[in-house]
Amino acid sequence: MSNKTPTENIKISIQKSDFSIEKENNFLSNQAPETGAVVTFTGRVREFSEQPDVTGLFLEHYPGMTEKSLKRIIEQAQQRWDIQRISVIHRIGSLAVEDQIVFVGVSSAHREAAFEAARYIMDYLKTEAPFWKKEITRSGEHWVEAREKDQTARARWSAPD
Amino acid sequence: MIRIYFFAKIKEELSLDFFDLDIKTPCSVSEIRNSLISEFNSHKYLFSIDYSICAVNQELSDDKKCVESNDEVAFFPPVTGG
Repeated sequence: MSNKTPTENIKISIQKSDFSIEKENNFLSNQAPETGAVVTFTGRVREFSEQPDVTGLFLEHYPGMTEKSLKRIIEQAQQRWDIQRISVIHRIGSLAVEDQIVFVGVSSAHREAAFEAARYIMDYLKTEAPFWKKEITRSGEHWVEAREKDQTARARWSAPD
Repeated sequence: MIRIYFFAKIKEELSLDFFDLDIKTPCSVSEIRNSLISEFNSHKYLFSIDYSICAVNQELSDDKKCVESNDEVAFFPPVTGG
């Protein structure tokens, strides 16, 4: 399928500041009558991760490669599904428990494409985009280890139908 | 010489953002890995193939990848964003 989504319909942002889900929702629906579905995912900092008593996170990334990697993931999603708009936001720097970290939103004519594309983008973001989390706990700091289950989630998409 | 950029735990453990590796080019990622292991012998696990990932010109690259002198090379742990 040719790339039917013009650049102004794609938003990629790596930022320190928080984001507004409402604002992203408006961007995704774009008051377009052909938009039948908007699916959004928001990731948040939770209190209990690898170790208890997480008080916050520090997020590092590889400037340049991050944007390139997200762009490629989005392009692959566009080839698989008929998507109208996409927004991917990832925060970097210091974050506290309950803060929003990541946002993936997809709009489409029908829900199936929007649900699947959002999940696909998130699964690839977790395994390919160069971000690293360091957890800050009451007893110290540690870099988060990559998880097997994230690789398994991504592998689903390359399995034969 | 190739400038190798480090991220996350590798950067922190070595206290280096980058390192100018004295190596003849073109060479393979595998050769760079081995040179980094000799260079940082006390932290060699950081450059084992089971631990770190290499990106050449901001693309994930396997150990067979050929590196030229002007390429941007980075080593980092498995990614943990999202």
